[in-house]
Amino acid sequence: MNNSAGAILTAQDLWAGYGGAPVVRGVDFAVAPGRLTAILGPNGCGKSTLLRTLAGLQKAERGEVTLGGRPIARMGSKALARVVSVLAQNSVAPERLTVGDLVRQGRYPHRGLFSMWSSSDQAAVDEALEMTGTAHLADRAMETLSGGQRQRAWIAMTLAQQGEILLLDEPTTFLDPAHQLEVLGLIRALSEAGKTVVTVLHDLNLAAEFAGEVVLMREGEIRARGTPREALTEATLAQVFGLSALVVTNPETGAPVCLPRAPQ
Amino acid sequence: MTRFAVLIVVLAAAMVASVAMGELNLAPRDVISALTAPETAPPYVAMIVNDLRLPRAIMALLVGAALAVAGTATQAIMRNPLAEPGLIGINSGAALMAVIVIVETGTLPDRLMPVLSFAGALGMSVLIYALAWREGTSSLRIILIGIGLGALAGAAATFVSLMGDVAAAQRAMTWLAGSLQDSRWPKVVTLAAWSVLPFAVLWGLARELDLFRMGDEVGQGLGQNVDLMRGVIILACAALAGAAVAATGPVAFVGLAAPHIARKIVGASHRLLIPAAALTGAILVLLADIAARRLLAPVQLPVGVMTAILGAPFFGWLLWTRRNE
Ligand SMILES: Nc1ncnc2c1ncn2[C@@H]1O[C@H](COP(=O)(O)OP(=O)(O)OP(=O)(O)O)[C@@H](O)[C@H]1O
Ligand SMILES: [Mg+2]
Repeated sequence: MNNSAGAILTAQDLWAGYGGAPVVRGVDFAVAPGRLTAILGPNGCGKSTLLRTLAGLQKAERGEVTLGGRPIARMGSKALARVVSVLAQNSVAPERLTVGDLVRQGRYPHRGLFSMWSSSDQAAVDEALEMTGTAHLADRAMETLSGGQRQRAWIAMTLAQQGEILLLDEPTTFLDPAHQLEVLGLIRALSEAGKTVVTVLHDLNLAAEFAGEVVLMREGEIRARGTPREALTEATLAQVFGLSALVVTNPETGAPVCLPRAPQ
Repeated sequence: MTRFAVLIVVLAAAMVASVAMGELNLAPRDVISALTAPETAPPYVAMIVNDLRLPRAIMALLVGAALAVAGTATQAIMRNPLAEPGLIGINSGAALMAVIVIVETGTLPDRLMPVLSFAGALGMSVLIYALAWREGTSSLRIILIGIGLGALAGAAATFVSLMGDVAAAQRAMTWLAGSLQDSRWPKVVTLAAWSVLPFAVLWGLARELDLFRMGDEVGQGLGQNVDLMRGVIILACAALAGAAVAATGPVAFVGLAAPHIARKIVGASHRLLIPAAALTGAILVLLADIAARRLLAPVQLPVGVMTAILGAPFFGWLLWTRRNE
């Protein structure tokens, strides 16, 4: 099961879209093991599409995505899902599904067509519930939870998958500031525990605070990347978001803080 | 498990009631003795029970179970609580073939009817799935194409039945209403034989059905081969419901209602839901058939008319409870 330890997910000259004009246009991407990468960019610039293509949910139109050197297009879908877990933007659970049932679905790629629920399946589910602080919610129906609890339950499902690489699309949308910090704290803890995480975020300052690497996208292309200090500058914010902003340094953490100016 | 025990007891009671009631009402005690020890029962009772009413009751049970399980799986893969097996072309495909056989009695022997209508059901489902394919399938495309082709095949069936003589048209109408009248042992055995494999496949794929409820995106993310599984499940549904329709003609609403009732009883996990739906569907058709035989006795209504009468208010209730979604 650990034969892909330290597997690196890369994309070379990746083009993807929905039949019309490509939405992801010639992206080169590589995630180093154990790194927490944040993807930022304006609405509709192709962040979700890039993430979906990296996860193999969508075919590349040109270029390819490789995992540990192997093209994912030629990997079995379950084998890929054992390494790469993906959380889609705005996932909605079916009615009356409990948190426990949701998290148990995460074991799907580890089970044969007719194999029984095993003790390692149970252990993975328990651990995922534990790490996300959702164990006490296991019997609650998803629709009865708050947005933050729901988000943590979805993250628990992707953790039960025990993939080393987590691709998360806006895991903090709809959350209040405290819950955003809580979810990002969880994500950082996962990355410190050795998981490779790529997450789409919209909050520049949270990305600056939590991510080891920031990728800025615009119109399907990567326009800037690097540590938050390197990538989040007044010039790149203007170029990517068309935003006039003052970038200062957080005196406590040293992370850049972006203070947008209202348009004149 | 007590829930299953209750379902089984209700099913057994419905079986006995179905066998006991008729032009000649039998005491449940006589029915049970005729079933368990035919040599001790009065010969005419044993004859009525074992040759006439038992095959009909078992046919009702099998048809109900088959339609209910096919409906459960269809609702899961379409992620649509109003889905039923007719949506994937089973009724329209089977009806078209059946009407052709009825009108062409001169050239096509009657015993080919179940085989050909089964082929019609299966063929129509495959056609719908193929036409919905566009670098993969989506449940919405399948539903839309299913409705379109279903209407087309229905029109074709009407057209064909108008080409035949009045008697043939009459027979076609009776078949289209869904009737247990002609339940003989050989037909019962054929239906049972055709149902076993698709039932086992659908129950075996319970986990895939659970995952389908979460949406294609989540399924794919977890490594599910969504298109392959959807294809296999649709084929199994078409085979199961197609076998039922071939035996009795379309019996409305069971495939829609039974899964909902079963879900209320055992929850949404398909490992339990599939057997519970089978039991529920069997009970529904048995009860509907009893009502169909007794309501206007001695006139016997086709069971499909009865399930439609019972089903329409259920459909309304379903829409009403979901009006805010
Ligand atoms: N299923 C689809 N079919 C057709 N076009 C799509 C589809 N999904 C997205 N698009 C288009 O692709 C472009 C990129 O969409 P994408 O979802 O990748 O953006 P995003 O960067 O994730 O935006 P957001 O911040 O709003 O989530 C948009 O112009 C969008 O309209
Ligand atoms: Mg997005």
